[in-house]
Amino acid sequence: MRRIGLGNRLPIEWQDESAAETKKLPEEAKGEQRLSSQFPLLNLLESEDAFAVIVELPGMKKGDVDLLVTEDSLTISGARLRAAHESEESCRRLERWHGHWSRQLYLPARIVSDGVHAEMGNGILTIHLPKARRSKARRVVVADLEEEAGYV
Amino acid sequence: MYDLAVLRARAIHSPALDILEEKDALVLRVDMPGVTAETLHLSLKGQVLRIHGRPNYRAPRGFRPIHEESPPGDFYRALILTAECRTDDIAASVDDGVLTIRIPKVVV
Repeated sequence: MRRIGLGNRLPIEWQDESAAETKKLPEEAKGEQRLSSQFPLLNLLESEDAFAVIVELPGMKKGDVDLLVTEDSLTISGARLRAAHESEESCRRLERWHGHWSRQLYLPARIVSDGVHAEMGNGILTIHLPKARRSKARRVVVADLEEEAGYV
Repeated sequence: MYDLAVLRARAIHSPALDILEEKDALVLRVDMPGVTAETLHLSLKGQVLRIHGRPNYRAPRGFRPIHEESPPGDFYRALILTAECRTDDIAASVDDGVLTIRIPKVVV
C-alpha cells in the first residue's frame, strides 16, 4: 500500500484563513450515516452464468477472512479487532464496528463450488461464483414398438 | 478545488469514524472500503477538514445487482477542528480501505 502524507504534505491543501472557528470536535457537516447494525455490508450481483458477491471489509486482509461455499450458499466470517493500545478510554469517538462477524448467503441458483474464486484488496472482498449448468431439456424420438416374431 | 456539484451526482455515504487520543495528537480512523490514495481527497480550509473518497473498483461487466446493501457512491465527511489541533502538520495514509489521519495537538 502506498503511503501518503507522513512527512510530505501531499494530500492536504490547506489555507490559513481565520482560525477563529472553535467548535466542538467533531461536528458533522452532512451525509447519511451508514447503518452499522450489519457488518460487513455486501452486494450480490448476477450475470447469465455467474454470481458475484462484493463485501466491504475495511481494515481487513485476506488472511482475516474465512470463506465456505456449498452448492447454493456461502458463509464468510472473520474478526476485526481493536489494537490493544486503542482502549475505549483513549477514544473520543467510536463508530467503527469491531468484533467477530459472520454472514451467510443463500443463492437463488446452484453454483459450481469448485469454480469459486475470491480476491481481496483495499478493504473489498470480491467473490466470483459460476452457476451450475442448467439441465437442458432433450427431445426424445419415440420409436415404434418392434414387433418380434412370437411376440404377437 | 473541492466541488460539491460533483458529489451530488452520486450517492454519498458518511463513513464511520473513530477518534483516538494520543498524548500529542488526535488520530482519526475512517472506514472507506475501496478507496485508495489515488481516489482520496482531503482538504483543509480554515478549521474545516473535508474527507472525500471514491471507491476504486467497478462492478464486473455483465452483472446486475440483485441485493444491494451498499449502493455505489462516494464517501464524504467534514469535520471542524478545535483550537487544540495543529493544522500545519496533518498527515494521512490509506491502508486496506481505512483512512488514518494524524492531527498533532497544540503544545501548551
